[in-house]
This record gives sequence, C-alpha cells and structure tokens, in this order.
Amino acid sequence: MIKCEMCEADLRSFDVNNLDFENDAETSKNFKPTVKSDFVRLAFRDGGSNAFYEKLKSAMAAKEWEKVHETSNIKVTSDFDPGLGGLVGIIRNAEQSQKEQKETLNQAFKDLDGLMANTSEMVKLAESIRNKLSKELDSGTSTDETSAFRTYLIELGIPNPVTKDSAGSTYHKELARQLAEFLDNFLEKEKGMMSLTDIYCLFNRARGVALISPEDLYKACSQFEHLNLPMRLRKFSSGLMVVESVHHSDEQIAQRILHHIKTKGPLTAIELASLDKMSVVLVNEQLQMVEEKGLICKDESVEGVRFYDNLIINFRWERNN
Amino acid sequence: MTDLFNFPSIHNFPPFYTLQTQPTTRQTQIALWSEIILAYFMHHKLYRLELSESLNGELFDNKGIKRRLKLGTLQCIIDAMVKQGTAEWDLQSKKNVALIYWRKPEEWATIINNWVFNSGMTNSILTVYEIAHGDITEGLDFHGLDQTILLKSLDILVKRGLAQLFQGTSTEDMGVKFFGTNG
Repeated sequence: MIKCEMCEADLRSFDVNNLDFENDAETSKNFKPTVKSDFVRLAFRDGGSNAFYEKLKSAMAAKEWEKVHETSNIKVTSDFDPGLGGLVGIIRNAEQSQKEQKETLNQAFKDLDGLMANTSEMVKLAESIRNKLSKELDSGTSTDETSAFRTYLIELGIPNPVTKDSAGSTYHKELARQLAEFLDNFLEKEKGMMSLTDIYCLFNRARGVALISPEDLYKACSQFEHLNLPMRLRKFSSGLMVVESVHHSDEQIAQRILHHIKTKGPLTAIELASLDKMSVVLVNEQLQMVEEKGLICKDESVEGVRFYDNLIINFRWERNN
Repeated sequence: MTDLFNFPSIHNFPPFYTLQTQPTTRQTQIALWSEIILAYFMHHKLYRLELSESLNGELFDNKGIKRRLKLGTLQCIIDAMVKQGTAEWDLQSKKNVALIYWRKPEEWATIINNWVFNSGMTNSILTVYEIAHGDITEGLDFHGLDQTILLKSLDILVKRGLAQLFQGTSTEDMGVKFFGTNG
C-alpha cells in the first residue's frame, strides 16, 4: 500500500523487524515523515478501535512519560504486594535477609578457608627460614635484624598443633609437651618466668586456628612436673599463675632485682617492669618474693610503693657517746 | 636541752617509716626505732611520750625526706617496748600516752637510794617534790623525773624495806623516810 485509503496521504513502508528501538533518535530520523503534521491518524480495519481507545485513554491519564524521571531515581519503596504482607511476609523477609547474610559470610570466609588450607605450608616455610637463620646465627654472621626476624618466625607457628581429635585421651599430656617445646624459646628471653595469660595469647597466636581454651592450657601446664619437662606451673600467693623454667631460681630473680636497685636506685614495680620489659603483675610478684627473703624493703608514701635495698636488716647504730 | 640529738643514718632512710611486712626486717626495724626513742628521751631527759602529738616532732617527722611515722606504726613500736620493759602504757590514755623507761623504775630506785645514803640523809624525811624538783637534787640524774615513775621507784624501795611513805595533802606533799641501808 502506497497511499492511505482514507486520506490518500503517502505511506512509506519499512521493515518492523529492523527497527532499532534502543536508539530512538536514530529511528525517528530515518523514518521522519515527509510532511510534518501534529496528528496521527489510525485506521482499524478489523475492529478493536474501542479496546485501543480505552488503553490509550488510561495511558494518557497515567502520564507515564512524566513519571519516568522520578521512578528511576527513587526506588519504589511503598510497593505493596499482598503476598508480602502479614506474618508470612515477615517470615519471608527474615528468610531473605538470612540468605543474604549467609552469602556475605561465605564470600568473606572464602579467603580465610584458603589461608587455612595453606597454613601448614606457610608454617613449613617459616620453619625452613628459621632453620636457615639459626645456622647463620651459629656461624656468627647474624645481625640484629636477622635475630629480630627470627623471633617473629618463632612466634609465627606450630607445624602440627595438637588437638583433641589428634591426641584423644593423651590430649593434655601432648599439649604440655608441645607447649614446653614452644616456651623453650621464650622463657630465656622473658627471664625465666611468664604469666599464664601471656602464654595463652602467644601460644594461641602460634597455633593460628586450632585454638585452645584457658582450661586446657592450665591442665597442660599442670602436667609439666609429671612429664619431667624443664618448666613448672607456679601459683603466687596473690593467685597469679606463671610458668617458670626450672633452670631459673628465685635466687637469680633476687640477684637481678637487687642489681637493678643497686645500680639505678630505689625502684617502683612499674619502673622495674619497664627496665626488664616484663609485665607489671609479674614484677610485682617477684618484688614481693624478694621482699619476703628480706633482701629489699618497701617505702609506702603518697608517691606509691618504692623498693629499696634492705639497709634496715643489717643496720647497727654506732653511737659515740 | 637545746643541744642537738644526733640521729643515726637510718633515720633518713625512707622505708624506715613504713612498717615492714617481712618478719625479720620488721623486728629489726622496731628494735632500731626503740633504740632511737630511748636515746632521744635520755638525751633530752624526757619521760612521757604523747603519741599523736609527737608525730609532728623531729623524732618521728623527718621533713628532710618528707616521711612521717604513722600512729599505728608507733603504737606497734611502743607495744614491743612494753614487752621489753622499756616502756609502759598509760592505761587511761587508750594507747596515746606511754612512759618511756630509758632507766627502769628499779634502776631509779637504786640510784635514789644510793644518793640518800651517800649524801647522809638517812632517816630524814623528804617530800616527793623535793626529790624531783628540789634544790638539793639539782644537777642529778633523777632531777625532773616524771612523778609517776618516781612514785613507782619509791614503791619499789618501800617493798624492799628501804623507805616509808607518809600521806600528804597531795601527791607532791607526800613524805618519804629513807632508812639508809645501802641496797
């Protein structure tokens, strides 16, 4: 058909399938009518004009083209769906958010799983570097840097942490052995004594993922003597628990503290702790122990408690008169 | 009275003012304090220690090192001295007043009796005031002796059969007759 059968206007034919609706501007340019007019005439040869008219009317009333801007910016929030209301709706909402959380967690832990899978390899690597470094240390070519690096590696990992599953009924004994091996590196550096709290943190950090409970640590430490391991669990009168090396005696601690007091003058627990890079709680216990031996004495004043060399116990008053 | 008392060097040691917890240290500390108190009281011829007041004096308050003995600590020291027989609590004072015996009443008794014997005052009667504050005892060790201690010493002489007491209108008027046997 070339001309309209009603108005005889020119009709151009085009292939509907090739119309590019995505690119509206292009389309309208290509199929621009030759005569510009303000109206469109539609012919309904097989009926259906009424149905079309209804649809057109409602579309005109809704003014969908004006809304486009708003809806694209603000997401429909008050979109009420009867299927989402009531108790069912609440449950469905909860399920929905659970599902979302689960996905987020899964994504987050994917990396951690990967890390755990590689733990043993990482620890092996650390071990081999450590061995290399200790060889270097033995040959006397080490520097402060390498020894510092070495300590990091020591803290890094335990190759095959003993677990309840792997050891079964001998769990605490095995744990004690592994702990003793682990602490061997530290006790020397920490002047022969460490508080159970510090050990708990260090040991669990080294274990990485197979963490142990404080209860397990306590039980393992109680086994030291029974297993002939070179360290002991010790409870101070205040209730503070420590692990000390059997090679270190109270005498050595007393000597160390006395030496500090004699060279640096009277000290508070905090000053001594920072001198020895030890925890204040531990130093406090040691000071009390040395005081009980009668080697030092304390001065309580508004400035706090300060420990002095015990001049009282050996003082003799030489009077002239 | 105005001459200075020489404190031992331990008096300048800060921990000396904190009651030590270690048993041996504490024992030594208390013994040293008693020694200092006795020497100080003897030096200044003092007999009566009023605890809370004395805490502000040079004996227990060391301004040089800013340390002062606590009342509780001083009471501990006096308690130990009482056990040793070098002090006695004034029982009415609730542990605030103590007599310090740098010489025990027995020793005072002997000293007084010897003086009576040596100065030929046997069988004469003296008042309590005369013994402690009279001109005749001027310059003697027991001149200015605390009345409570003096009466205790005289009681001892009475018990030994060396003196006899006569009641007066007041304690100071009380008369003593010495029998003049060298005790």
